[in-house]
Amino acid sequence: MSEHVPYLDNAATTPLDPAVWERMRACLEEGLFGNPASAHSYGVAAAQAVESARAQVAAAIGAEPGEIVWTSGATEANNLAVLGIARANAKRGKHVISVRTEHKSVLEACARLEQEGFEVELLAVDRDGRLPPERLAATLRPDTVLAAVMLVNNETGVVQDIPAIAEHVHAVGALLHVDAAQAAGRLSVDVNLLGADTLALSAHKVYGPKGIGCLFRRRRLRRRIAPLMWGGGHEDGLRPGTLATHQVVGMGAAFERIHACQAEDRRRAEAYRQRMLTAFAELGGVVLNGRADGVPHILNVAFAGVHGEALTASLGGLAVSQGSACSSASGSPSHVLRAMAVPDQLAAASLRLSVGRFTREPEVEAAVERIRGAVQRLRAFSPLWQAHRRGASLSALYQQPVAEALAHG
Amino acid sequence: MAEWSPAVLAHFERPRGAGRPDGAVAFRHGRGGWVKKGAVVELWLRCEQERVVEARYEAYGCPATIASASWLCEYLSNRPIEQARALTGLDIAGALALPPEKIGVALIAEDALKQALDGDKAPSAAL
Repeated sequence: MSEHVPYLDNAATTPLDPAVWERMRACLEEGLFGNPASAHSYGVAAAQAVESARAQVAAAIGAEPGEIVWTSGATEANNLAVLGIARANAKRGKHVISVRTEHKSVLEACARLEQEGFEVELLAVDRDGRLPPERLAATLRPDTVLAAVMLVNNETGVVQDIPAIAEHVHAVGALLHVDAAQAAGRLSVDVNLLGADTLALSAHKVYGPKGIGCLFRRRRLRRRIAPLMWGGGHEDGLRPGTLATHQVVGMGAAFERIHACQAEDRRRAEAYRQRMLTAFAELGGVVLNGRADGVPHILNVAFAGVHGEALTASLGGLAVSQGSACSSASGSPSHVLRAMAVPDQLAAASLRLSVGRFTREPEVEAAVERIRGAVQRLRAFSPLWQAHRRGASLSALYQQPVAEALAHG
Repeated sequence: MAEWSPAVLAHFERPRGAGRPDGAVAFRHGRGGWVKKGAVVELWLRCEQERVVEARYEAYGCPATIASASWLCEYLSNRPIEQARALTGLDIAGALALPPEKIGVALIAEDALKQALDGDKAPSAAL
């Protein structure tokens, strides 16, 4: 790429932190090629690196090292928790609860459970993306074995009240799985304060390498999760396969960096979010998909009066997501925005802008300028926007209720 | 995302006849499409002595929708009304080399044209 393209898609993935890369490089170059499961010195050296990383990740989330199970990423961790808990506890009950705005790795695992005879209830969220904990409480039953609720939504940045949800879930003796892939490094993630029984994490959302993640699971749950794969008994029998030492070391380093970087990362993300919100409020007709108190690194906004495809085609390759990276590949409307009752046409004209540790102000300015220029150009001859200027409400134009646009000033 | 033909890109990036005309009362008006389907074309034609002397549009939709409306306005300018009547959405789709899944938006431009040429019919009140 000759011209620098602003990268505002850090919720999809983050670049590797150079400090993380340095640890991974050292791991690959310095002879840590042994199999961590081997008893000889080569294996022991690799195992020590793996255990050190396990302690680093555990420390970042208030867990014990023995409670971390390495996986290939958060998708596998979500699958392992949802399928593994339901299957291992099926004798107790077959009722599973989740939420319509969850990541597909939870929703599709739930769909699989339905095929296996489980009864899955997917709860609706409010228009701002929040799940009222009482709504979940009202759905819990004596035969509920699992509730799966994410901490931070990957498309909107909306934060769910996990501690309150955990209380309700535990009151009926069920287990709570939390997808925290988007939360780590952005919010304080403490498994004890959250009350999570299992929790999914990914390295590449936190400036670590792709291909590695983990499932936190409470020590007492050793026999209450069924594995998805078989062979070798690694990771306490939950996840067989020789560990990729350098990936594991990278994840450990990435999570160790959180402590040092989180305050500055957050300060920067808040400043950029405010800058974008101000610019879009001035533009007018921009609707926030989510809540003002969402995580600062994700901003999801809809641009009324313009068509999603026309907007994308006008952005000159700007690295942002239209709704969500997962959904835009399929071309279907975002299931998250649809669950929040955003009209499909407005959802399609939504952009998710996500900043990160290596985002700098000129990138944000360039992105804002490009978006503003594209929206203004398309609106100049948009019959929807012109009707709105003449007084038609956005709800009337989209023939469906639309949230208030961002207020100027 | 769709791969657009050079003709679509040329019209999308530099639309011709974009924007509602001043004093639109002197124009015939037609409208096609629906917001929920993701494409709306509004067309204004100023006609003198059986010729279209000016054509303008507003469009909400994908690049193919905007290009269809833009191409249509360029084609119609200074064109006998008889020729305008003979034009179909398929002609527009062909001229812009639209992919098969996008031919529908050219038909929406045709709907707007037919309504404008049919004269006094009240424009849709959907907006």
